[in-house]
Amino acid sequence: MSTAPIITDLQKINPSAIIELFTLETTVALHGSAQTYRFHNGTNLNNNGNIVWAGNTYIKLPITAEGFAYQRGQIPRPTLTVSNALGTITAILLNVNQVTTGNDLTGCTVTRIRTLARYLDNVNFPVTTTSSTTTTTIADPADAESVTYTVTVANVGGINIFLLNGVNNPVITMKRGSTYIFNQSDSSNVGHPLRIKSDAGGQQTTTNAGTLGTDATVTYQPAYPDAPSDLRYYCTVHGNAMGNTITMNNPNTTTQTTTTTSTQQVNPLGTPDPTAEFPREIYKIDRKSTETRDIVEFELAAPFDLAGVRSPKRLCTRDNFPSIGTFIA
Amino acid sequence: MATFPDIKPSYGSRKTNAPINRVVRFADGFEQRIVFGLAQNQNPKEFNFTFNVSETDADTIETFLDARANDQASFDYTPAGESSSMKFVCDTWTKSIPYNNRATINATFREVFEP
Repeated sequence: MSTAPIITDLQKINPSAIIELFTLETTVALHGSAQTYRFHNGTNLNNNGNIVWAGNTYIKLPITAEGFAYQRGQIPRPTLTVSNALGTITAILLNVNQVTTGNDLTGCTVTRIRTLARYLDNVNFPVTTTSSTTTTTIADPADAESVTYTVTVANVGGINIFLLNGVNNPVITMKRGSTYIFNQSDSSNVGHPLRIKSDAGGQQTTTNAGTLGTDATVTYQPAYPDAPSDLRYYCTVHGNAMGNTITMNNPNTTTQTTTTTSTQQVNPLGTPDPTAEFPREIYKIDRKSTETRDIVEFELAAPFDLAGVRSPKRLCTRDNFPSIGTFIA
Repeated sequence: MATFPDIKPSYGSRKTNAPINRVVRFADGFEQRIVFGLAQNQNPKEFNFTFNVSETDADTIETFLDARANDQASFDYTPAGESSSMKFVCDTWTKSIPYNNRATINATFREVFEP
């Protein structure tokens, strides 16, 4: 808990609205279980759900507390009035009365927390959708080509070489983003698997299908813009001499616009702060003064102002009264 | 969440605004104002509508409002001239029959802030 941010905010010309929250804490000894009920007399701005502050959900319920003012030095006895229209409080009362007969929540700790709207969690506010567009350059699909080479193997000048469409191991040209199919279904290809490799980067990924010499195809799709420039086609068994180099060109390019949308919730009033709050007002429930179909009213008292709780005479320590100064021994 | 039947009220509907705020002002006239709670929820609207409709439409409206009186739920309605739908409850409405097969329903819609 810290009041420093509150002090800063309250000195502004137009401070943020005050949000009043209540917690009701039961104890094991009196009420059977230690529970914390959280209430707020209002709804949030995200589809009118429950207010969330510091990660805690404060259930929407008509609730009000009055009489926190100090008068002539007396410790105030505020009254807490809670809606009972749907029987919520009656249910809690019946529950604790099963543990301690006639308890009616006396001895419960009621805390009034006040913070400012600017410190509420982001989830209280409407979901906003932001979209951002990114533009990327891609290979123009219209410029892509699909080329099929019929591969045969022949002995030329004493060594076996690949013939592409009948031409002795030519230098071929490729475009990034296109598709090149080497058809090795001719029976002369047996024992001569054709692959693509980069002199610096090693063998390239190709899609190889079928049986060599029967129905084999090797499909290579150089990626845009990453495919290397130092490519060659070769035989994995007999080496580079069977093939030749590949001249790699870039295709025409086009731009592609991608739109990404993201949703987020932001507190438009300020930055959420789970610690920023006014000093808490902590009271005990002294008695239940009214319970009707509409409302339940509790009388609150300071912890040492409760009936049946007595402090020893002349007990006056700095813990209880920090303002009295230093004791002189 | 029920939506009010698509039956248009007559011209002349009235919208009442009564923002909830706290004002501190003593003798000489300067005042300070503050909103408690989230500001958007402190300005509930109230609409007065007059429906000059046929007996059939009047029955539709009354059946709807009776159902809401039974389940005490709010309903969605977009008044003419408003940009988005709001949630209302209708506390009172009156029906009169000016002449055969026509009905006039006067209804007061009060805005509520609910999921």
